[in-house]
Amino acid sequence: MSYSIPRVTPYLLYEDLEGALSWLANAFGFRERLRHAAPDGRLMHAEMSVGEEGVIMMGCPAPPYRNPKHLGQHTQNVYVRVDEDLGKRFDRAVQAGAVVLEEPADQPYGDRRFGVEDPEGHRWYFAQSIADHR
Amino acid sequence: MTVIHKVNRRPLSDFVDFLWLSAGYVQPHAAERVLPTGNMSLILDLDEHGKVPDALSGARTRSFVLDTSTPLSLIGVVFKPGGGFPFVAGPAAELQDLSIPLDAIWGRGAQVLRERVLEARTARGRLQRLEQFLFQLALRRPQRHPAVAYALKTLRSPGSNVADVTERTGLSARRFIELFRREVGLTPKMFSRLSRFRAVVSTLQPHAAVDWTTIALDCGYYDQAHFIHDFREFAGMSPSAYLRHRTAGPNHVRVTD
Repeated sequence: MSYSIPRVTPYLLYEDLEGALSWLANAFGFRERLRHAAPDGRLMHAEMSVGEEGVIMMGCPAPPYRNPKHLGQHTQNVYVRVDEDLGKRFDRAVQAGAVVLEEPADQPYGDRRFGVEDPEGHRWYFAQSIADHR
Repeated sequence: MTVIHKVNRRPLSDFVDFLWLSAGYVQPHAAERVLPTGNMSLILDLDEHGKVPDALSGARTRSFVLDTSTPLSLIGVVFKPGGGFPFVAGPAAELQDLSIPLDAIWGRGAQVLRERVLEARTARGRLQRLEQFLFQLALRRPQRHPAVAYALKTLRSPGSNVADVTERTGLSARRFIELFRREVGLTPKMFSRLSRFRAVVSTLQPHAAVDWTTIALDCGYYDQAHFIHDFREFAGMSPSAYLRHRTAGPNHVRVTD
């Protein structure tokens, strides 16, 4: 069912969780699957589906939390494996306003990969096996 | 806490927008007015001796008052526009503005659903049980009439009008209205008016200054008078009363009297 939680799940923190949900849907094609709201309506937690089995969880901590953009540095990357359309995904992300870290390029270890930063400064790498791609 | 689960899996996602669960919903006010969405919906009370009957509601064109004087624990389904018809026997139009006890529609199935949902102890588990139940019903893959599918998509954009849409379906006005009502539960005209009203409600941002004239025109109203007339009819209050008494959920408004 669509509620399965993988053994390991990235849990990203955003200052504007509502904004992140719509940006990630638009730029990366992730699909919102769950949100938890506090009684005052504040969004506390959300989850998005990534492909068939992938999940990311997201939270919205109270200040003084600062996202990577406001902190001035990123502290981790998220690496997403896809089966197809790497180039199209790159174009879509750039159109949505993603900051390009790396254009799509073949990597010696066997993946073709691009890297982008989202509006809050989290870094995302999308990769496809070169064997599938050629 | 309220948990909202977006349905992403086809074919259920063709018909269901999201499932929600509210555990111990407590508000500082004794009652709130719930605005109409034009969508069909389903609700189950999670309390053993709850006061809200398990029911399926047809498309609403009027607001209703929810008693919030005691904590509520509910689980529910919001169908997509025109998405409720596969789950009821008979035309959706017969349910307009009505709430029908679930057992009157699904017979013993209503009790089976209730037991299955309550068997799970967690919010996730309960939402999952409800989704599975609906999924099985959706597997019969009921087909939307192409004219209705086209109209549902088109009538939601601000510049659309019913006469143009009817003409483009190639059907007679009478036949088109009949098909549309059977699946959506409203006339195309009412659906179009409700869509404009919903566009206004979803445009309003909390704490932002509101320019009603601009909003009315952007959302497809002919002028501000038409807008205010429709708003009063659907919301049961003026736009400014709405802004004053709106709760954190844009669809729920504090009742003060």
